[in-house]
Amino acid sequence: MTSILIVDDSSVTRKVIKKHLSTGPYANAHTLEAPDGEKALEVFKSETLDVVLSDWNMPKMNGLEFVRKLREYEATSAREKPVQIIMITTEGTIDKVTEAMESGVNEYIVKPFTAETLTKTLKKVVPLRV
Amino acid sequence: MLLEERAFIDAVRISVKQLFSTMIPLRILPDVNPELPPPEVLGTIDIHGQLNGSLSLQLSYPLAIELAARLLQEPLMTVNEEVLEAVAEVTNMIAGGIKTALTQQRQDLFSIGLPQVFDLAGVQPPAHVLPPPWLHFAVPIATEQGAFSVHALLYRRPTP
Repeated sequence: MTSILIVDDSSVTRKVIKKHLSTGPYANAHTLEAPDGEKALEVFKSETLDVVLSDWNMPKMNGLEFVRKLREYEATSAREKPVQIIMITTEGTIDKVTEAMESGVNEYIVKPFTAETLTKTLKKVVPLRV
Repeated sequence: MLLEERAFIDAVRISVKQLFSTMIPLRILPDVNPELPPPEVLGTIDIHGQLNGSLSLQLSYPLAIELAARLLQEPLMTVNEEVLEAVAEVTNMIAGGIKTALTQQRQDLFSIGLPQVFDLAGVQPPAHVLPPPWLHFAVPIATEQGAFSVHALLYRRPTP
């Protein structure tokens, strides 16, 4: 079963993403949620995850700081393989996309997005497991 | 001038059209000067950089509920926390779309803060306690479920 962590300060966005997932090929995925980067890092350290879907602009620790800290943690831990990170954000400029990719993001989705875009992007980074 | 009114209007229309063709299926009507209902919900987000101030949406209760229901794909009857949270996310997405549309012409005009939402219920929007803005652009948008407006309140220096 694919394990997905949804990180967004908007509970509405987390709910929308879960609904999108529930109607597609990732309907059986195990989903976890976090409202900011700090909480997300705690979840990441205690769980085995396949994918992280993270917002950028969040209170406490934003998505970019979270990604950098997550990658730092991975580099010093004994994890088998790096988690795949998809940033889902309203930040759609080339500069921002480049900054995110250089910080360790694997794929990038600009809000607003469709369920199809989410599924297509997930398939790029993690094969379906049932 | 850093921001021409025409460029702002175009950016708002691109951003709203993108939102209403993806996460919130809603038809935009061609009326460019619709009658706007009294604002009952305000979604606002601060911007900082070469442009300083805020981008905001002013909505009626019925349209706020309708946007939230379509975003969440579930029926909603009253303005509750979830509706206000949905308006915050709508504000965030429209502001992000405006930034992206404007930045295709110029570099990094501004960065975006976190959205805030106010149930006005007869209360004046918080922007009114600030000094008069240097520039105020307002773009009305007509939809099949009623009209709303998108505003830019800009200051010459960082917002006080």
